Amino acid sequence: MSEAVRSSDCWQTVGLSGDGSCEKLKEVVHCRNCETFAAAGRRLLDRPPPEGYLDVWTRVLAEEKSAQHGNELAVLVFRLGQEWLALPARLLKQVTHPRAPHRIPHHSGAVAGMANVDGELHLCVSLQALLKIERPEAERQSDLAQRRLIVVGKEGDDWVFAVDEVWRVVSLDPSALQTPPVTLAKSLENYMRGVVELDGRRVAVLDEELLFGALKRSIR
Amino acid sequence: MLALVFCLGDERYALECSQVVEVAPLVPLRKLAQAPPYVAGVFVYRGKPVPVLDLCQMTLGRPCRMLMSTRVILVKYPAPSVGAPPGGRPAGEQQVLGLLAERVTETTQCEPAAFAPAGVKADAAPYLGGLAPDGQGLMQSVQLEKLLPEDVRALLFQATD
Repeated sequence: MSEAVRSSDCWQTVGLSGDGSCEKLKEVVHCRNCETFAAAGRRLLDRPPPEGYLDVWTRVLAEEKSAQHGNELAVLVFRLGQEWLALPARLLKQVTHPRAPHRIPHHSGAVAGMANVDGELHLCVSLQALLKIERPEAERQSDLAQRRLIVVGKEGDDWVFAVDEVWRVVSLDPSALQTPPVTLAKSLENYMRGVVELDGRRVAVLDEELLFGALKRSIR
Repeated sequence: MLALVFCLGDERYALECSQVVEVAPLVPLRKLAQAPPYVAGVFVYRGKPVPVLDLCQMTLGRPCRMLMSTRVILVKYPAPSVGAPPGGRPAGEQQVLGLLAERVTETTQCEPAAFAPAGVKADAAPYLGGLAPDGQGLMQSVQLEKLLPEDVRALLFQATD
């Protein structure tokens, strides 16, 4: 290692910010991959802590950890009509643009038809019909741009359903789930684990076993 | 094994990462009266007071420098299975102990077998183990179970009831 490489700011002189003549560049390609650069970065910590830094950390360390790590439940939050619903995100395979399903004769209710997603035919179900969620007529015409098709996989079966809006994936503490309020539709209550408040939305977290069990029975 | 590397003065030391709970910044500590000088103090960690030892004071006889790279290594302190102090906690129960060291900024992969006996065994520092070479010289392993003499252990981990 040459003397220049050892110097404290070699990346400014012989490195990429300098003339690029450093021998080590052939090996590491970029200064940020170089051990000398990394060691200089760590030396930045050899200085007194800024004001207020330790006070913040004293508070952080004194607190109990709120959610036990690994216990969180990640859910995808979406909207059907007026209702915000959520399903465990690990089931999620794809969120895609909406398309009209091909109807299947002699099937109605929870079965909406078949949908072509990336060249594969999937059974398209209607959560709206299963959960008996009402949509006002005005609602059906508005917000077309926000509609999505969600593909989920459960034990080898893929299910496709249309939703009016997808919000995002949220990580939540399962113990924070509350029991559903009595005002909630009975049909929805049958398929849910609990209710949680997220950014002013009251989100019903669906129970995957109950929901997909009911869907399986409905297509027989 | 993955080892946490830190400095005491200019020399590098290694601690097995499986024994480490968390690495925290050097927060203000409450001093403990009548404790040995290397007991830097106590701070509240996750709702419980945790004693902190200054490894620089213990090994070099001077306190750690007040820098951002000086950090508290929170370790699972193995309480010995025999010879638990009377009135102390049950044997085998694990305690959290804070260790103050300098330049706690790196981890490294190394083989436990790479640590060769140092040849010189300092009676005053029984917690310093074998030496292993890494890219920048020799680093010495720190053995937690030999860190504290019995009387200090009894002082720090008294029964709370």
